[in-house]
Amino acid sequence: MLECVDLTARYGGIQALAGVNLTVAAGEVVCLLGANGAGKSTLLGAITSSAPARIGGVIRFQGQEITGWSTEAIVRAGIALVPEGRQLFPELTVEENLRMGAYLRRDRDAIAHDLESMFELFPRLRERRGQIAATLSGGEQQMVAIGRALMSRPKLLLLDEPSLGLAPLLVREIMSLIRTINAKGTTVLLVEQNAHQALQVSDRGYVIEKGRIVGAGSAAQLLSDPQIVNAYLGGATT
Amino acid sequence: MLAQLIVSGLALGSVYALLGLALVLIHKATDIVNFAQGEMAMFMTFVAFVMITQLELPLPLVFVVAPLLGAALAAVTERIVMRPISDGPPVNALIVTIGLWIVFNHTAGWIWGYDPYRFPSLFPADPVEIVGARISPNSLGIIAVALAVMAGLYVFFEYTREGTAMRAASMNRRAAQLMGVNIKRVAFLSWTLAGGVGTVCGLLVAPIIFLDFEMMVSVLLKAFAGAILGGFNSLPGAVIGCMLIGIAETFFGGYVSTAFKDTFAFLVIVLVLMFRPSGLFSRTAVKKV
Repeated sequence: MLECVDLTARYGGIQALAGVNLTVAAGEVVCLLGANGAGKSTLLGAITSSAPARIGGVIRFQGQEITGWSTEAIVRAGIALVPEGRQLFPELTVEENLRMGAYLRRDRDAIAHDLESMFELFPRLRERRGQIAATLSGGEQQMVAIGRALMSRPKLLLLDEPSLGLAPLLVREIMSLIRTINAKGTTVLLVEQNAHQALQVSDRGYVIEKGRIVGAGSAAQLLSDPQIVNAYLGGATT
Repeated sequence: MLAQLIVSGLALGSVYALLGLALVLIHKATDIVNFAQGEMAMFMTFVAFVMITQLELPLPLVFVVAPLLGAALAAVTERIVMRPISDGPPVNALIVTIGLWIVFNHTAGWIWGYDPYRFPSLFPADPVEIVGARISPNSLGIIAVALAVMAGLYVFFEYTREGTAMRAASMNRRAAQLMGVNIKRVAFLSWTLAGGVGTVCGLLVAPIIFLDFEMMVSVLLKAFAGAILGGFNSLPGAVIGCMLIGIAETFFGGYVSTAFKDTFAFLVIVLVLMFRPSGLFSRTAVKKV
């Protein structure tokens, strides 16, 4: 479904991505693991054409080359990004934030229906639908950010460190939610530092270091790879 | 005397508020202060004057057509002048708007000359007696028109898809882009709206201060003062700030002297920027990411 071929990205003189090859097949949950500054967010920014970097290489989505498309066209094609740090609209209400996710859609009834299903997925947001997003807790904000992305009915959902800054219990909740979303037919590319949690819900994983893919395999393979375990799972914690 | 002063203060404040709204509209969408806002309004008021005196169109019709043309002028200006430099540093755009000020100012002087003209008012000038106070219907009319424009803006921003998207974009531009909002279109719409609202301001103020090529300079200064009082990023804040300026100016003129009207506005700008740069009504300064 998604294919990055020899993807490069530069910010001025800094090479953030140095030839990344990555694929995500329809129906999969794929995670991209790596430390801070490894190029994870840049990759998602490149895919959604929302990073202020110079991009090289080829990105294909559903067989179509989308390199150089506008963010608007990419969202329309069916890719949605849950950005790092949620990036909600702080002074809009929960409902307005969710509706913004459906900005490009014109099917009013279906939007209302999807809004309802978001409230079923996140019952806590229903109670808070008229509340300003800035007043929500971190976990609730992450739910709004995910719900907002889902409101565009994406075929591919990109998540940038959804576990960042959340309590362990909430992290598990978000991870199981990713499974639920995937089970409903959305393909997921998950970017995480929290490698252990991410691999638990993923089919496959990639490891990125200094803008290069340095490891790839099924979740089970990566979980049993001693090098990965040492570098990203904090030793033998399984 | 008190009631009269309050009403004429609110009328003056309404005029400033319309221009203040136009300034804040563009600033919220683009981080640019459009210094040419007043001159564009002046230019369109001259166009309206031509429609009244030479085309002999009825005044109410002019009040509808001129703001639409003002919106179109601003839209074209955005497309031709501002859009090509929109990816550059904001200070470039700022300097370009100062250039636009001069262009509109000189073009108006060149076409229509440098003499003041009497501009007809939509409302009768003779004061009417309302519960003992002699109130000018013109003041009440100005307040009513301004309120109608504000109500229109409120409905647009609160209840329409495009209006909500414009608010969202002013809060978090990148997130709005990720929703598929076209940021350049937001800038275009903001200029268009501001052009229309600014023209209404020109049409309302011209009957009070006469129509000439410099008529908007002091109005722009007051609109700035009011918008800065309101924090420069809030539409309601700009309205309240400008109303306060209008009332303060009228009271100062009524009880002390009219000699310092413009100095007073400038003093407000300096004091607010020194002691309360985020405006009188800001709860917390929201840091832009």
